[in-house]
Amino acid sequence: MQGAILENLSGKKLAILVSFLLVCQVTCFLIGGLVAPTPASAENWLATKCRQRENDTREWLYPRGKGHCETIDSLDMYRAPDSDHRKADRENLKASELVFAFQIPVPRNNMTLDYSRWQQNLIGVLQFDIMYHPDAEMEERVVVTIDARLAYRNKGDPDGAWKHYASSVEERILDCTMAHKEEGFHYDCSIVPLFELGSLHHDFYLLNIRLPVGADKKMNQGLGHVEDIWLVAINQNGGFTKVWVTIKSAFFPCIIAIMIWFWKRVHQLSRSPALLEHMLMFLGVTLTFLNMPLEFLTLAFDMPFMLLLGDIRQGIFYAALLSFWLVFAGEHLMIQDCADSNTLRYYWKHLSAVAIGCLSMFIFDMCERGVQLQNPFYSIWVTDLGTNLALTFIILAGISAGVYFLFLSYMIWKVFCNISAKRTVLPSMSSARRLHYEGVIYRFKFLMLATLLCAAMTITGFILGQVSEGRWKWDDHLVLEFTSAFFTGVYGMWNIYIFALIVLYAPSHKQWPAEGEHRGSVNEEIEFSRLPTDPSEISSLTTFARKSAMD
Amino acid sequence: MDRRFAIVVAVLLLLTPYASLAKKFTRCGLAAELKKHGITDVRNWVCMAESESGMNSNAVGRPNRDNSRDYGIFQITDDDDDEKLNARDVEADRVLHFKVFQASRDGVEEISMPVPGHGLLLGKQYRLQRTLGMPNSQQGTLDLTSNSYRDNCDRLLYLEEKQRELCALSQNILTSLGLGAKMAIDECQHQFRMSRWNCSTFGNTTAIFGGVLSVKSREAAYVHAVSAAGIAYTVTRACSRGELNECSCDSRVRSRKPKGKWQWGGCSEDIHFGEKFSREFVDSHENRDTAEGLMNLHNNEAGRRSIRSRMQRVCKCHGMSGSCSVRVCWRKLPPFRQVGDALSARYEGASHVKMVDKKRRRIKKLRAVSRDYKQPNKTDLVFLEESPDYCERNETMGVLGTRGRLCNRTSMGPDGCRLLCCGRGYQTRVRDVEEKCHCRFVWCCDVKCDTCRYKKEEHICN
Repeated sequence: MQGAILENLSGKKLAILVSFLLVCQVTCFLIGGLVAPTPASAENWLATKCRQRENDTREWLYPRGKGHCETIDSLDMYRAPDSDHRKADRENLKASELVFAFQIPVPRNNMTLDYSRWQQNLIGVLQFDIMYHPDAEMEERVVVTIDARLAYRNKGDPDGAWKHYASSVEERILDCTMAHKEEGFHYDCSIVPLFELGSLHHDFYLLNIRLPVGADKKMNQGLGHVEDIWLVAINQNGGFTKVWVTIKSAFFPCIIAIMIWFWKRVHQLSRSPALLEHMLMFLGVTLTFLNMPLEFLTLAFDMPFMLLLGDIRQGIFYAALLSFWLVFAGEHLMIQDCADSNTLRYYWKHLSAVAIGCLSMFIFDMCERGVQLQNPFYSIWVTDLGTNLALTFIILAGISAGVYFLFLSYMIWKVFCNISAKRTVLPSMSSARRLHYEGVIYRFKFLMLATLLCAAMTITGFILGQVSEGRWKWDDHLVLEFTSAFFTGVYGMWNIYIFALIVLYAPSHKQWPAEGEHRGSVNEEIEFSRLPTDPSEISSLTTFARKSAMD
Repeated sequence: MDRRFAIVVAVLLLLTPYASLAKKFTRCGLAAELKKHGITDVRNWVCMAESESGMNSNAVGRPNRDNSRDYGIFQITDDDDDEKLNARDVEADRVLHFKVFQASRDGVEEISMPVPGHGLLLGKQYRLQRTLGMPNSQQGTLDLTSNSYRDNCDRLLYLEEKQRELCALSQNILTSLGLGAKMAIDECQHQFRMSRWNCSTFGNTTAIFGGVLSVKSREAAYVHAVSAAGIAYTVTRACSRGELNECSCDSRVRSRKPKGKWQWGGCSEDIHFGEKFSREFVDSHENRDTAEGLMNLHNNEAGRRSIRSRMQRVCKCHGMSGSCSVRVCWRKLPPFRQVGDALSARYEGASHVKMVDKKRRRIKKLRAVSRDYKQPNKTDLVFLEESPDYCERNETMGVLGTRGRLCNRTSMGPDGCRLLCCGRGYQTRVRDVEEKCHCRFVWCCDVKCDTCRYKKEEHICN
């Protein structure tokens, strides 16, 4: 077997390559930190309480524009027990007549804002302002039934031309606590995730929420004095999408070019491609899939499945990366007697852990985001059955992750055992054999180092992001958007990692020295400097010439 | 300064809900309106309206003998002394009518309110409304023409130039300002319901709080702080409801175009605009060179900060497969009661300050009166003069005194009879009362109660 480019590369060249990649890495980080805004932003919107006179629940109630609804300013007047405080002339307000309407986005700076398709997705979260009142003490856990209807409108449409997008009657659990019960104060209630839209194709959205009372008289009866409902709409920032897609578009041709180069090189060899080369190729393909800037399509087409597709793309990539590490460790065990080891079949036990983990995450994702394609208000966490199911899959994925890391650690440990065993016998080997083993050891150590570095940086970045929360201000002029920097940095890092892997682990065309060659000076330490320091792509002729010169 | 501030508050407060409701009725129109509200003896009512006001809901009568005036379609007196009202049958009757009309107002735009024409007298309406226990919020679906609200702003002579400009931005701003001022007063009255000074408002003087604010006391400090906070609060709420087009999107993003800005990096506006607006509006007529101006500015800012510091941070994760790789946080507006409570605590611990004139740099600053005291920070309330004791009625000051107030016999606090009655003692009376009890709330908008009869012991200050 021939060596890889990595071990035949001169120290200078390797240094240049690594520093180039590091520059790329820093660029990615800085682009995220300096150009991109935060990945997502949340806007807080307060419901307008509309009164619906007709019984037709298909009618859309919207607070702004021509034909807006009849608004109710405060529900207090309907809730005062004292008849003096009440409206004398009106019948009571019925639950079915009360509609909380959100027309988003709201105007700003005297301009009507509209959603841009660059903003990609929208997540809606409800927050209830529930006033404490002694006549309506709430239990800590209340089930709220929400009749939610979502409509859209585009620029140029008349004000009332809302078109139905989705609707559903959903149950949500509301956990409300209150330490110091006093009138006028609000319960401290949990947030209620309401919907997730995978695409933000239209300009304006309208959400009508009713909290109905059912025939069984149980529905929504545990609710206290709900005064207001806030909608927190979280969308990806357009600027972040632009930066993200730019990075993807930059990486996409690179990975394709590198893969073509790699595959050509492998095919130039006389032997058939080894398992590791297949794995590298597979890794490249998944990365290509991940890098493919499909987001451009969302600008033209309504693609609500983008969230799901994004998850799947990432999932496949991670699965490929994890499998690659396993196979890589296995291939460097340096046990040549096992004939099987060059096929995937040998690793089925180890790979099944990856497969089970990814499959369970996939099923979980399909149950949540897959169903959300049909009904954006769906959530698996609402019902007990759904929660158990989701937890089962997540725990299963967790267990397989644990098993996987056990396998991986065991294999790496074995490799290190072998390395130290081989090292003691290295000096007594023939030069070709020695070079072979030195190469194997070097390749392995290089990958270990790079992987650990990348993993450590990812984890550190993640923890820093979670802990710091806020922004990292270096000085007043340079404000670094840390979260975005983390995302682009990590994304760039794994891209560069795989670029480097494919390039450096591509087979070298350099020939091993002949078996009978005179051994070099006996050196205990295997060092990079001991490897040939000439250009990597020296032909067999130059090798031959050099060899003869040495002789 | 104080009086002017109070007038601004009063004017905004009152102008808002009633601004354009005045209307002259025809006989038939009035009769139809009355019928709509289930009034059967239409003829008597129409007659009364005709004789009293000539069907003009905007009518203001000549001064009565006791210097009170009558207002509106049924010419109700502005004398808010309820006992006097009850003594006079006619007036009581009219109050009843007034109630009916007021009650019908919210649903029907055409029904008019007895609205006096100019700001000075508007305080009366507020007072009447309070005594009748009307709901607090009445910002309705008023459809004003663009000119009318501008006219309204111009008519508010007490507004500063700057304020008039802000006011004229849109009708909704005016509404929000009024609601904010009203919310602040409601909160003030709630917080001080147990104190000797109970944040009482007046209609018969030009200043809504009477002369109390002319003393640069703790109470004045509280009123300023809570008003500034109230305006910031309502403007913020109106912004998040999309009622104000002017709300700016104060996001810290590096893009120039305002619309592209939102699409590029979102709008991180939470309470910034509300605070900014409150600062521009409320602070605009304070003079930085006087001690009083400095005190008011300080207290206004303290009020606004008390909202910000009580905003609760909420976060949500939404990364890959719902993991926490992307986390978004936002701030939630606290209930205004919490702001009022916080300011109450600041009121208790307010710092007594004096103005220090640093000659060399010509900077005027407020410093604690004595070096032994802690210097006030930005969130503390400050005052320049000690408060009067508010025990006795003082017409010029606008202090009602505590005579006739209900007190709590067992309490040792400020609402206890010993403190509240200023040592004058109290009388106890036992009444048979019928009250709603065992109330149960039924979603969404109903409260079912039983009626209980019991003897109620009341203690009244001498």
